[in-house]
Amino acid sequence: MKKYIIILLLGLVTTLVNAQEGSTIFVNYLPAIPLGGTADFSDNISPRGVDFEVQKFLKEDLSVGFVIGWNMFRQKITGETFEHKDLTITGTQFRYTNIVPLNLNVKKYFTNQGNTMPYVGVGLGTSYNEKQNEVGVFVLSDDQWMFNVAPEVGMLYDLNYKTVLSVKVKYNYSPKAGDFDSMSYLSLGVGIGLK
Amino acid sequence: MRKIYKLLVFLLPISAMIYSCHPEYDATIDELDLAITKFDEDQNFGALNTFFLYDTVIYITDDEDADPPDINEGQGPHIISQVRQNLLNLGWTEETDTIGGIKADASILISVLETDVSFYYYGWWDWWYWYPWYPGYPWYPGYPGYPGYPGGGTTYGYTVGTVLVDMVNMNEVEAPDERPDRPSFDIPIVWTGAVNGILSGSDQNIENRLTTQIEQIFKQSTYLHK
Repeated sequence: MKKYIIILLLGLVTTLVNAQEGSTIFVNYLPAIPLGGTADFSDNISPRGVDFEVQKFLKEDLSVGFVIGWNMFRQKITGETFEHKDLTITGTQFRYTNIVPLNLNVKKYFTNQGNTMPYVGVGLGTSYNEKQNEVGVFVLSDDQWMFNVAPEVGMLYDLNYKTVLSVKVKYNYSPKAGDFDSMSYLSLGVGIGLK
Repeated sequence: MRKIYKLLVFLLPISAMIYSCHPEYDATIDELDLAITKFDEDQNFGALNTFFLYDTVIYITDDEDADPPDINEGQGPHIISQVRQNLLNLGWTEETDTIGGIKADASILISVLETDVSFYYYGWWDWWYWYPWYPGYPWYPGYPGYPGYPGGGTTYGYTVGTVLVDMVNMNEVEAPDERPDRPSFDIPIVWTGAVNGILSGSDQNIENRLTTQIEQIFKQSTYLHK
């Protein structure tokens, strides 16, 4: 799974680098706090997260864009007994959650703030979710594509005429799909954008 | 030049992320030990109070030509002793008289099996590819090394051992009859406990781990408690 994510991200970088004029491309470091079903499976705050984004400004205060991210959560659980199908299992669990959201988004900017440009936005799309529980020499794995919505607030700060500092808080939510619990997390993004 | 600059700006944080974090936890051998149980939900365990424990551990292998170790000279006696002690601690009564057949409500059969597991270590990008495998069910054996990738690789392996403790309800064992739909014994196994782990460490270490995990299979089977 990880190799597909990384290949996808590297491919996207190449695409973004060649993005057309008039657009701004961003890369954000994105640590996150798991919530809801995500936290039920692995509830540690994760420093492992990143997203890539391309924004096209339709007007001075309005942009549309595409974003792909990757957040990974993990948790070690010692000595807990759990059920799996008709088995009762006790052992150390090493739990990993990978979430890859792919969203189209729209952002409304509040201009006239000098070099800073606060904004609110929302993304809609899908996300790939994988939960993996390594217990003993076994791996219990489940994955699901889910609907995804991601409201966010943030701020852009012009470092110079080509480079922008990006700070944002984003909430990602995917409702329950089939037997897969709803997934959600809150991430804090810090990154740069190139015009 | 601008494209190279942009590429570097994006590749640097990605590279830092990939190489600075090792997302998989490191596990000790003890942390890979498991206690697994399964039971017949239709069985009234309250009706079973006595047990007969076979004093021999059966070694299971899928290699007919293999020369199996004599488990009964190794950890076998310890395994039998631990199973017996745990059942007695739970309030069961041992029945040792076999004259005229086993008279106990339940018969306890212990077996062990060993499975060799191997995996291919890919070197610096191993964390992309490494996954533990099911014993006897290799997960990604189809990754034969990716010819052309740098770094080469090395095959490693370990042996996974499993102790199986089966409980047979002797009150419901049915002998074969001449009906074509039942040509053999019907032996209802109402409970199975399995202790699974990697066979590594000193004999004393393995014995201690066996003690802990055998105790756990009975501890988590509350329906066996009297």
